[in-house]
Amino acid sequence: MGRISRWGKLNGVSTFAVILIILAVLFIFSFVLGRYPISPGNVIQILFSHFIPITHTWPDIMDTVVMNIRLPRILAAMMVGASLALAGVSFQGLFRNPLVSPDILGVSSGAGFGAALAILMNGNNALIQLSAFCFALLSVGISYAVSRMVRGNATLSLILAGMAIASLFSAFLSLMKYVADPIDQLPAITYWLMGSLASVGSKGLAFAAGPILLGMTILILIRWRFNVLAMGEEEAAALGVNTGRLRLIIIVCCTMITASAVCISGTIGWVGLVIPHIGRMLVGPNHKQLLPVSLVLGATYLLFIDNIARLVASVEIPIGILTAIVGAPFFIYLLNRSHRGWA
Amino acid sequence: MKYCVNKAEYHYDTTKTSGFKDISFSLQDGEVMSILGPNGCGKTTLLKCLNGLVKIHGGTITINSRDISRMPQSDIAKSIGYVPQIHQPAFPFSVLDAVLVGRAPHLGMMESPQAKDVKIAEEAIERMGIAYLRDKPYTQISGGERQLVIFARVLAQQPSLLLLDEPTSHLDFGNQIRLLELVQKLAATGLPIIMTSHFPDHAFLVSSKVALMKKGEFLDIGTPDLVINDSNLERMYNIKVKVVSLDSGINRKICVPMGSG
Repeated sequence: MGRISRWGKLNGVSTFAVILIILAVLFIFSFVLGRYPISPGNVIQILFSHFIPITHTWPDIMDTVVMNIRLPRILAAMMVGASLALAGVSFQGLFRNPLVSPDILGVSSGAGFGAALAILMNGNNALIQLSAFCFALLSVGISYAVSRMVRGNATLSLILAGMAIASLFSAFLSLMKYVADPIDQLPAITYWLMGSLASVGSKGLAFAAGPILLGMTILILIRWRFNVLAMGEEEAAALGVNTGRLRLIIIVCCTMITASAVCISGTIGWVGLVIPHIGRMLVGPNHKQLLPVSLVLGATYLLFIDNIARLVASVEIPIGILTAIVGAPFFIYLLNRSHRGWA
Repeated sequence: MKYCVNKAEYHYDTTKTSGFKDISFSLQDGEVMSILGPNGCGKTTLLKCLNGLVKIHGGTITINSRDISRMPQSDIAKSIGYVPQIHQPAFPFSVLDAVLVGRAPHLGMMESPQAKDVKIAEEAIERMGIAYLRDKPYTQISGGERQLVIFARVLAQQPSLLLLDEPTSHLDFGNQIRLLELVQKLAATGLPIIMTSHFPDHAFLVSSKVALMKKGEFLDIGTPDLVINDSNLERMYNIKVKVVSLDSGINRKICVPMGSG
């Protein structure tokens, strides 16, 4: 009961500041982790040396490790985490349902099928990413088009169309797996579906960054409107909101950012579902605070998980496995602790 | 404020004649109009058409001589507030946040409420007498209190006409009467109100005008004393009803159902 007053407007801002600082510390610390030893001081110096002139007191190889190996991966983890969390919280607001995840309209199944198809055609990494991206957009596009053909409740028909299209693309994906060469293609498909940031290069990152930043900016700018949408379709319309247009804008932005994220990282579950809940526990359900907080939490969470993925075992653990292994128990713990139901 | 409905017509399906037709009335500041009618007579659809949520197929609806079919939904929402039959909360917003949502028609797509809007919302909460609920999650208060939150939200919208869809239908006996008093109080400030209802007695309590609706048409419209009588109620509900005047200082009419036989 007293939670909301405890997390009032000012507290929402200070919570945001605290998680931003945690992210910044984790960001620097993530460069330190790895086989090649680098001190946090060096990390900061190297990062700044690309913006302001600093005398180089470190070996060139250290610069290469920081800028070319660890930086793209760290940025990718933060970007993918932020994307999935923001898309998750946006879809939960749009569908007025806290159990919705970003792949509700078939993004993941579409991307999985696209990636598998490209792997089957022996495509290189760039083609796999492009194909995953295109089929992710396609599956959501079909879901939306199908839902528009159905009369009645727009939200419900979207969810049902999404379910149908997602299972259709899952079936196509299974077909791809079935015909794939079991020696090299099938493992590649399976590995892609488990998600990984190991192969993200600066090219893939640059490809994904544009749509992700654009989608995020729009969602953050219109975030208060989610509170109006959460009142329900009809009440939002009575409050002067063009619900059809707003819904389309949200779906386009979410699809753009999740498709871009998934195409470089593979399927990563749990982030989009769990992070918004943690966000609500911290700052309450008001989307004005919830969206930025979820974005930062998502970036922090996936960066943390990716550090585990690349360090804990001698072989890299697929990140999609870890998000669930860490995420599910943590989620149950939080639900139990908060006593606020779906808050 | 002048609100006019002229020969409004709506059909669910072009081949059938369900919906409503030939609905005409007008409303001025401070008037309360009740629409009575049996289940499925088209009351709720009519109410949704009155603020453009559903588009009519014929006739005109004007507010201050502006045709609402030519107004964007955001402009309509600045002048007409709507309270649904029941509000289903999805997230545990604080009462203040839920009321602030009423500012939506006055804010652009990328804007969020400013100090001025918070002040308007707080005043609306104050007027509903629920200031003590300001920071509570609106999922954890009673149904009656939540109805007041929705009323505060619609007041924060600062409309010049209020539409209420069966506002008393989910409330207990005491809250029903408190809500009707609230309707009266709001009307006394000049705000015209149109409400649908299942209770002819409620129409006697608050209305200056009553419309009786059956099968998509107004059977009769006028002051409660003229319109709510034995024969009209029997035509509408197909039961025998006696409208009796109470004496002994109460001086009011009530409807007594006599059975369907």
